[in-house]
Amino acid sequence: MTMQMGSKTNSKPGQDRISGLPDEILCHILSFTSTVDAVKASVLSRRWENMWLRVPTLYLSDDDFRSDEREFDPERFVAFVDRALFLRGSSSIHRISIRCSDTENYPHLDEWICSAIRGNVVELELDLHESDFRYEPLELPRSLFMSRSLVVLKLTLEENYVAIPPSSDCFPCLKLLDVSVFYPDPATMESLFTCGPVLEHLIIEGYLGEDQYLNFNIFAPKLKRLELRFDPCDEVDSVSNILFNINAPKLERLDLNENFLASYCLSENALSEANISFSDLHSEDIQFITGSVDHIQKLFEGILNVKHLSLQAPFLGDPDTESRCNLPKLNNLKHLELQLENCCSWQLLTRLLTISPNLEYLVLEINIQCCEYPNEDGWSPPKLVPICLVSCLKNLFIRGFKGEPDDIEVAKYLMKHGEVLNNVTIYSCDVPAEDMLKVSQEISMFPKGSNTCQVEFPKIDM
Amino acid sequence: MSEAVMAVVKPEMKSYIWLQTADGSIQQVEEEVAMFCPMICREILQTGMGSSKNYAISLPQRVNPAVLGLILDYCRFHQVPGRSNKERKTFDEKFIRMDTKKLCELTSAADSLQLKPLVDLTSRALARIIEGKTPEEIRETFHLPDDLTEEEKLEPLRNITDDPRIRLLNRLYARKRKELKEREKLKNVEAEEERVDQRSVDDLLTFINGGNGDSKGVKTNKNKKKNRRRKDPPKDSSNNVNGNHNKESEALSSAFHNESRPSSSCNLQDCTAIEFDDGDVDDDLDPAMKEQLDREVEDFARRLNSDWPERMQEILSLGQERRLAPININGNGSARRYTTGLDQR
Repeated sequence: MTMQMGSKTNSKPGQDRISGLPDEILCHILSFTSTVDAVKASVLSRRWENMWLRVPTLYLSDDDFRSDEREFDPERFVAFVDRALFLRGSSSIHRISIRCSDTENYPHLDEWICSAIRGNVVELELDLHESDFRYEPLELPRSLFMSRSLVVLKLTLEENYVAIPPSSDCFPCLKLLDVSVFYPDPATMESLFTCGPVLEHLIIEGYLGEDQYLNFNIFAPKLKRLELRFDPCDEVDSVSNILFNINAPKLERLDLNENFLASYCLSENALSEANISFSDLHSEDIQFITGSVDHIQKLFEGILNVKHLSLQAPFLGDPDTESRCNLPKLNNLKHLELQLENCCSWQLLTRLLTISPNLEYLVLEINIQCCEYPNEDGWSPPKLVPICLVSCLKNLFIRGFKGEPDDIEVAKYLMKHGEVLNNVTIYSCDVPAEDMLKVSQEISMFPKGSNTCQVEFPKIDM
Repeated sequence: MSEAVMAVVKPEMKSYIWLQTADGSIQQVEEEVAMFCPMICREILQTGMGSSKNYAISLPQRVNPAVLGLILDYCRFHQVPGRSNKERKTFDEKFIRMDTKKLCELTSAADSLQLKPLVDLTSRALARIIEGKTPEEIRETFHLPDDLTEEEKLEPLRNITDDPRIRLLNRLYARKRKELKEREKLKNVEAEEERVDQRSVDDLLTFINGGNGDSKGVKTNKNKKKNRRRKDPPKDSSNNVNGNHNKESEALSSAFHNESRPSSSCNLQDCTAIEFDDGDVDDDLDPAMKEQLDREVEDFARRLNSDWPERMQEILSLGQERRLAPININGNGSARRYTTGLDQR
């Protein structure tokens, strides 16, 4: 055993616990570190010497080569990646993740990608950025599209990145595609999501930019889950024309999060769950969007058969929108979660209750602060009691209860007309304990439409 | 044996499984909790063991009573079906807070019981401990023996940072492909104009020659970028026709001076097999040309493997005289300029 100067005598037999683990576990642990760290581990001890060569993942990030002490030299990263890919042999690597903060520094980036594909990598992540405008478009290599081993692909597509599938039988084995965009190339958006014969999960997220005309064609016969999450547009009155053509007959779950009310053409599908969030989108904003009424209606028609819906859409609570929009009935809806901002919450509640005749489980998150319109609208009970209250609603959860007069009125209304209610659970938010005690007593005394109704005020929110 | 097979379960009583650790101690655990461990589950289903004290399931040696307790806590929480992801995550984060020694024991035990989610959880925690520490710090944390010689310690790192042969090969190959591509593109310049392709010939040349390679400093974080206006390409693109070539000769001369001991693990034959054995990569090149290219590079690779010092001299002298052009190496070892028109533009 070599004794190094300055190191402690610390190798008592039996104290070394980690080396007792089998090789596979040590490799598994190293698979969660970056490749630089895994290689560094090869100087730890004899056991660890060549462990990194058997780790089934490669995480290559040029951040690991940045330090405060010296100026970043891209050549060092290039050398490292070349060597790692070569020495490791690109075969038998299950997952490769390449992260470059400035792709201009790496002219043979596509060689690295091709090398990964040749090695039959199963999961590939390309996190590529640039700090300045690229003169030449970055095109992803053809072999990436044709890979017969790739099951998971995560991409960033910044400005001037082009990823157009070269033929219609691309991505033959791909099950998960996660694309993060920034001012994406329109031609890419039109064609990238049209091939994927076994694609099950598609995520498109990022920032689309202002004044964009983008057509997203999503054609995926086996797609089960679609997530579309876009960062809010900076310019309030910039108008974008964004269209999503979604042809996914097996789609079960849709997650939407944006603030520009795109047009969604959802073909016949098997949706059972939808989570939709148009945060900060008020009726004053959507008047700038041409065809907004049409967009809303088309979206609801697409999600007609969901059983589970979570919704945040302040503009739907506006009486003006109500008169113009004819929302279809959601006859299969059993579980509804509404995020109600305090600018227009109660109309939205009434509206949704009216179109959900078979609702059994209702979660209300109230008193969400609206940054733009601090005025609260008042609660006024609907003319007709919603059917679901009378015949179906069994569970009611209210979160963010503040004990305001309207909060209490709503709770009262729901409990009075909820003839089959079993549980009412109210979570308070920032209410002093004594006040909450008073309020809870008051609410417990309300006339209840259901004999089996139990009201609870748990202290802790789950 | 029939006693073990007939597991008597009274409806009003919970059923329990009996487990025995390597030290001989036996404990009983609620059935649904025990069944969460694949190894125990299999034992119960396949052999029928575990239903009574005499037929307790023997757990692997790596599972001692203390760590078994931890594992059962984990199972007890996670086997409840109704929990949300958030709840599970919170539990995991609290659960994993323990000293390194216990963490290793837990990993080992979870692995022997094939409880993959727990193995992942503990492995990630151990990875976080390893990340960002110096080797000395890691050795101290885990009490690892420092049993490599200085020489051995330097070798893998040297492989990583200092192998000029591979650099050269990669660069050469990349350059050739780009040159071929460029020639093809210049040939089809009229056809190109019809496509919605806004690249000018200037831009193409810049692209092929790698452009300006200066580093731009620390990456701006994503939120900042969101607010930046998208940039339009400026009118005059920087044209560094010789940029790449200068880099080449620089690299070669530095490589020559820094020549490392050839390492046994760097077998260029492997390199050939891995890097160049693929038909899909250069699909938009003329196949005959591609073949020639591949052959030539394989040739070069073989030469490189056998007579490295001589090769180096040759390339170096050629590179310094004129712009480095791809070299065709024929059998007798003398360099001959590649004459199929690559340098005729």
